[in-house]
Amino acid sequence: MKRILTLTVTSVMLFSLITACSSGSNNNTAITAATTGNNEVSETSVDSSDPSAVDTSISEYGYTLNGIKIKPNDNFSDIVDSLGEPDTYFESESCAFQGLDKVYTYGSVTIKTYPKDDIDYVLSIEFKDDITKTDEGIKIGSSSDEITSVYGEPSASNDSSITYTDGNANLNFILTDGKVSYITYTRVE
Amino acid sequence: MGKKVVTTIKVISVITIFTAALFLLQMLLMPKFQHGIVEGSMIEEYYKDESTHEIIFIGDCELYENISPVTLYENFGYTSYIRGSAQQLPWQSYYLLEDTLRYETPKVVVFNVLSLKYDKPQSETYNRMSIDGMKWSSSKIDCINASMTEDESFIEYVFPILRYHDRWSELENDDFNYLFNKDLVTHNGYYMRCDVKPQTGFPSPTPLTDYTLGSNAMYYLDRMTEICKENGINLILIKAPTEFPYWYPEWDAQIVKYAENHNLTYVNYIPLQDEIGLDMSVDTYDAGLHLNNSGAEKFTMYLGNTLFSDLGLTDYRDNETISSVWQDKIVFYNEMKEQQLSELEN
Repeated sequence: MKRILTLTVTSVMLFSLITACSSGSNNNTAITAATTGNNEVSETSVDSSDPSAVDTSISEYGYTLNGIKIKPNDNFSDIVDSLGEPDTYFESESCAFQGLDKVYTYGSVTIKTYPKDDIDYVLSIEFKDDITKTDEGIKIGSSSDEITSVYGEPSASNDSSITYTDGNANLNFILTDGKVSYITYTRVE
Repeated sequence: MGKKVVTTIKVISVITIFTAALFLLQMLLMPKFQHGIVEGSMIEEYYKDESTHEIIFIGDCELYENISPVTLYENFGYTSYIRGSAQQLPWQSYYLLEDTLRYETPKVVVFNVLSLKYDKPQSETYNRMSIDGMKWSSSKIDCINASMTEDESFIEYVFPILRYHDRWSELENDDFNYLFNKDLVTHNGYYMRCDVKPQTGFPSPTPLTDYTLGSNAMYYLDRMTEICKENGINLILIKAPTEFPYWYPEWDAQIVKYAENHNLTYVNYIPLQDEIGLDMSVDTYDAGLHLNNSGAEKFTMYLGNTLFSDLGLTDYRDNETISSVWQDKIVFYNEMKEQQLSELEN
């Protein structure tokens, strides 16, 4: 009888523990999420539906836009209003509506975001043309020598790209015939 | 002696009742995916379908939203099932294929190659949608191990109550209504959407520093190729006719080469939109990411007339047993289509 009582009490305690505790785990099965009616399309070339833990390690690589330094993995929801009205905006649902991927364009700069726990984080910052320079002065059309003279030894390089990695961010220079043809800041995967 | 037996019986009874109660609680707390986001119900629906299929589609939403098995049967008599799930990753596709082969051996397996852009585990939420519905087997165990992100643990798949316990404060009517039985949400794996949102355009693709498809992803494509070969199955690779997410020409070239090297058929349907008869101002419900029902039926007809036409597939429309099963599916399909179209009109 004593054993049965012990077993029953243990069961009740275990039941209470299971229903009471909250692991804070990602309960993003999005049962309560509703589809929006505004499903324009964005594009991401890297995985944008990745709600794995946001890497908050500090990176020196970022771009200053309208006086605000923006880096991959930054909380974009906090700063988007400060940047002013974007020139263009796209958004698209990811599969099974796990959030909206968004693309903002400010002049020559495109910022892509990914959602995690109702917050938009910076996925990438991209330069469209040679009007925009990195904070260190490199732009589309710069040579690979100019890049290395400013940034030093790259983390990775080949004929078509030079990449600098710091913390949770990559600064990527895509090369065509030895000259920069595209610049992106991306999150480290 | 008698007293010991009685005590033992009592203890066993308590343990049994406790286990049953926990199991029931687990069933209650697990999301039902019956309304709104239904993708979580897709994988388990396969096991309810008792008919066999000559074609199995394996892959992500570019399959389960773009191809209609009912249309394929109605117009060609070909039997098929889409073992699709949201953001299904290459390793999940392999293990789902392995799982499927426990139940049947199709003549053809069609795999959508977009998922090969993912080389690592991505999302716990999508993992659960692809895995929770699998019946327990070595395939499921291996699938879990291949899929888990850093934050996940195997025990949470064995006892999902550990993962979903904090849903107790979010329980809805569906959790009680569908506790023991769930309604079908797909048509042999096809997710129907009849609404229309025209495609207006996409941002330019971002150049990548490295276009090489990942070794882990390709390893699982190798395994799919091998298991199909071992079982005498014709593996066909396709890229669905939707332009977003962007499918780089450099990726396409790698798959073309892979198909050549392994004597497989690969068709990229993106350039064939016109030939298929797609009009992306009316054949998509989400601005071009996926086809709606109108688009899916067009694409399916095209597949039936081209890709599947010379594969020796059986026209089962005159088979009494099978046509009877599919007649029910056709009724369900048309009912849902009518309901959705009616809701859109209102």
